Amino acid sequence: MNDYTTQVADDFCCDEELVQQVISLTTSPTPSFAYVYDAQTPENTRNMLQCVLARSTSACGGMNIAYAFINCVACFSQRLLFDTTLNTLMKHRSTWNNGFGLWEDGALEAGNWNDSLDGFFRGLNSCYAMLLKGGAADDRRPPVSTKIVLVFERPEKLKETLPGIVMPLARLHEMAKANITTIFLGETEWENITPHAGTLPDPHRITVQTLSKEALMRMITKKFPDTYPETSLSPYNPTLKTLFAHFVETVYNVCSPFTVEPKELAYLVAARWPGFVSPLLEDWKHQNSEELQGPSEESRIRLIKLFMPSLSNAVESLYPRLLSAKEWSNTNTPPNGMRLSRAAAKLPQASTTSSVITDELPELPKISNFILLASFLASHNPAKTDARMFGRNMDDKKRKRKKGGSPRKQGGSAKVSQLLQGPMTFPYDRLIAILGALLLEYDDGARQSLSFSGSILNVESEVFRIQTNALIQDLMSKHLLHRTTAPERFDSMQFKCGITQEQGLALARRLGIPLAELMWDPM
Amino acid sequence: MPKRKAVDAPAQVQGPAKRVTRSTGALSTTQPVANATSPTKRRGRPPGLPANTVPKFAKANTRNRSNTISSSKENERLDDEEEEDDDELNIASEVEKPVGSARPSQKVVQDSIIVAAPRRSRLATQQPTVKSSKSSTQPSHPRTAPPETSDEVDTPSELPEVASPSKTALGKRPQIVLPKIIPSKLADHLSSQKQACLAALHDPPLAPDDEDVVNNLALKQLTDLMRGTVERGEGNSCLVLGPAGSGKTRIFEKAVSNFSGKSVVIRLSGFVQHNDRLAMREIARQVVEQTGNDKFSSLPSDDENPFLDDTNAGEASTSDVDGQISIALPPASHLPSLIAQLSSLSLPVILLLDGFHLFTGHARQALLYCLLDAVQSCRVGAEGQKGLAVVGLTSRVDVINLLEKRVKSRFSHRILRTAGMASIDEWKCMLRRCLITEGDKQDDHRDSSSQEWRKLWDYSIERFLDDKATSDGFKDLFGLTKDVRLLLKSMSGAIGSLSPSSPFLDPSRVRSYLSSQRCSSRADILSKLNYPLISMLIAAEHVRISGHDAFTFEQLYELFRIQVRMSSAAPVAMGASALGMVNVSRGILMGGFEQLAQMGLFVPTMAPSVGVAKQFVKHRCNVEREDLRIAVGNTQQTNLKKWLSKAQ
Repeated sequence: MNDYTTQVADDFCCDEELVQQVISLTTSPTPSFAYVYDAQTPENTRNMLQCVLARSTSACGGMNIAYAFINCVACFSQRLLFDTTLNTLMKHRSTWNNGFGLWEDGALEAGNWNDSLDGFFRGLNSCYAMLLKGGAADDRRPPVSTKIVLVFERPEKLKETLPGIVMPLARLHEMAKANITTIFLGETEWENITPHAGTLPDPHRITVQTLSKEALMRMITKKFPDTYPETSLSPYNPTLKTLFAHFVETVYNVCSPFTVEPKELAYLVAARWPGFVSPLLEDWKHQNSEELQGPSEESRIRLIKLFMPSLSNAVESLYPRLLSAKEWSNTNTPPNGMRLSRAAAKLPQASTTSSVITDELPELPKISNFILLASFLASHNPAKTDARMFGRNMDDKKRKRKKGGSPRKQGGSAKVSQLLQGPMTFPYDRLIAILGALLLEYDDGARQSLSFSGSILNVESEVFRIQTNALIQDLMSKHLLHRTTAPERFDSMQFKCGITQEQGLALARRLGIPLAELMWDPM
Repeated sequence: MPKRKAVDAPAQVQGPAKRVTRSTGALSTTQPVANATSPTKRRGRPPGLPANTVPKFAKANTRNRSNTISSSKENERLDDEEEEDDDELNIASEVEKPVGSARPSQKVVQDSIIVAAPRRSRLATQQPTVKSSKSSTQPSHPRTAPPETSDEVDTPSELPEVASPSKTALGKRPQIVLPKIIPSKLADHLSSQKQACLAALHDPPLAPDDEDVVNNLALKQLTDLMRGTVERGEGNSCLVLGPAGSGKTRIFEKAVSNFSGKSVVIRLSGFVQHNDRLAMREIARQVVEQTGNDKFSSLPSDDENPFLDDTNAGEASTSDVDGQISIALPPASHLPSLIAQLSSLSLPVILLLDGFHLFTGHARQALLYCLLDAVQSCRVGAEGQKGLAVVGLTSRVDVINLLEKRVKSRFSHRILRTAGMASIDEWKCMLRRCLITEGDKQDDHRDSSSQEWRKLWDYSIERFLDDKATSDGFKDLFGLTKDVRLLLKSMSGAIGSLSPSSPFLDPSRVRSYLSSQRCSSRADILSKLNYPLISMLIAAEHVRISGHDAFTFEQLYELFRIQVRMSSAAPVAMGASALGMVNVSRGILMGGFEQLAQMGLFVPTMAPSVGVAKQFVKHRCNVEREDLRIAVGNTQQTNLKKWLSKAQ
């Protein structure tokens, strides 16, 4: 047994003690309800559980166990959950031939197993009875132990979708009166799942420790494929396995301050590795001898040094998924023909790509740009400052913003800039007023239009108003401007700007407006 | 240790010996000096005994003294020798010696018996372990198996010996030396013992009947009540009230087991039957399942009887398919009238309502009303009427207040109370009952190894339960919860982990299991977070200090940026390395922020909407400052510590 434990622990890069606990959980009658908490590598733990369970059911395990893994994300309704559980448990597949029917044991009420918890318990009982019968048929002596193990993945979803079912599942052993072990394999603490504290029996807790650096690196290094022949000029040539291990360590060292999630690290490794070994492969192409050799100590260090800056670049753009891994490795591949033996001290600058998610504004009509900027100002300046910021004196000179003013009130909480708090809502009239002020001040065309007089001006302004409203609608459809009031309300419409500070600055630059001067809060 | 002390030893040892002989046997506890030397039954004890150990020795078993006296000569002889392992616990054998039988020669024999010594025997904890020096002396007498470290001892071929009965003549518990590794022939016993213990822990035995505990009283009352229903056809209702884990369900099952075959038992649970329709259907199903077709045909012919309806209509009320009873339920319209029929079944009915308080939440409390009404209208001795008992189990103390007036007036207000264990001693009694169970049930296979195992195991359990470390662990747990289930769960884990290489319970190990079953502290979770996440939390703390409860990502990011700029402008040098805050890109921090929100450490204060960009969604921080402080301390990053300390 110990050899087996060690082997499983080695295969799945986890503690032997954890494996031992899982084995005893699946083989002994107690505890009947366990919560396995694994915040870091739930998939790995799931695979380990499955491996242990599969062995227990096999001949060498000597147990008569039926088990099912139920994903609570997929089983979002009670009926789905019950059907999936029973079908998986009895290895029943709904096919054309069986009329896509559910598993049943021939009893008359079998069809009702999914309509209530009572039915589900009876279904489980039937499963258990079948299992007992089956175990006895296989073996002349009574089976060592007959047992059903149900593993629920992502049980935190149950709290949202089926809160009433958590308690019966936790007490399944007692309620269905069969030898059933329920295991919840969750990514959050048990306390986050319990609907009402105190009503649930506390589970037997198993906490999966976070992976150590060594285990994590071993886990990623294991993923190096071993299907490639030794003569292939591929990045996954088995000769490169040692180099890969070093590479993984380097990636870990660079990334560990930001993330130690195995999935993320593996993602980064997979994106960078082909580019990383390409200078070496280039060397191999040009070498005369048939035998392919890994790099020497010195060239390995040189290689790592060469690629170190690109690793932090990879974290910056790949960890927040600003770019897909493939796109990133395409743009960051070393230039063709770059050989390790003749490599420069620095990698050339990565080529730019159009796929980077940027927040650049699309091309818009000029008035739209003004409307957007007006909305940005309206969203970030307090309403009562408008007169000061945009008002004009009688002599047509712009009033300067007063500095100082009344002394600030003492006490209370510190003021937070509106830029950090997000845009405020503002009414339609305010938008139009600010827009008018901006146009008057900074747009040459609009200033000229003021020189018209009489009826022409009226017509012009009417056309202008309609055009403005259409543009506002257009901006709303582009989600650059948000309307916060209900669409059916025409009076007192309220808006909120949908552009960021950077976008606002870019826009102001495009229009030649000194935005910082017009903002109440300093930028 | 200096050799001088070793030379001094004889004088020290002899002194008390003389004194004792002068006092002619009256070995009062006023002889601390004599007692102080009593550990020299370890014969090589280095004489430089710390003075503060003396009072402890005074408590030691007085029987040992004569032993010490008579062996004083031997001590002289032994003191010349150099080494003895502190962990050699041949104390055990000597302590047990009857007063008169302490002769050096016998000692030698006894010592030779002992093969292995545990690091902490019970005695070792009662009496001060002498850790004064490493230069303890070696025993002079021959040993058959002279292991110096107990780890080497345990070759599976050697069986640990048990003290002979003669040595336990004084009625004390036998002093057995537990091996660290058990030989292969006992391994089977261990595994069967494990299974037996696990089973017992899963379903712990009730307190013996003779013990006057609350639960026994409740059991007796409940049994009496059921007897009234089953034997005399009474209508009874009662509530069993007690905290979770106090044994309500077990008491019910124990009581109802007395009447198996004589009654129909219907079990409902408020957690499963969420409404009256489900509950009534389940009642019907269980009744049909238990009484079956034949039973119903014996009922008086009555068109209103829903069960008969089904049978007469030939809707396959009950049929035997593969030896299993499968049932078609009465139509839904008949279900309400079914409850009134319960008392007219061929057998008395006992109905269990688990989670009674949940039934009070059903619409108009219709089920409870009907059930209690049926109970009340039970006429003793009436024609065709059998008894009906409704037993509710709940942990809600105010459950009576939840009942509507018309329901309340039909309830008998009979409330039986159960209680959990009130003290650690009761916990221990319970554990003793669970753990000292017969692993092998087959008496005919009782060979010597089986007896051997029994003695070892029982002794190990007693020793474990008497250990102070165990008591401390239990006290910690007891302070948190009185729910005995948590203890049993932890103990199952500990029992499950026993293996031939560590076959007995070890207090420190059990303690780790006890703590693993509690929820981990916030600080532990926070300590595992990486740099961007901790930075976000510290920034959130700064926002809180500045008087704002809610914050946006932009606010935190701004604070982080300022801090990075400041720390790089005025770098602090610690030792050789300059410490500046590492800058992290906005994208990564945003990811960290979302991760914190997912973990529930940041809680959004408003529902997400289309109009609000995610960097402006207001959040609240769900982390206590103290937890954060501990976590930041654990990360050992001076930058972060400094930044947090600025938020005062």
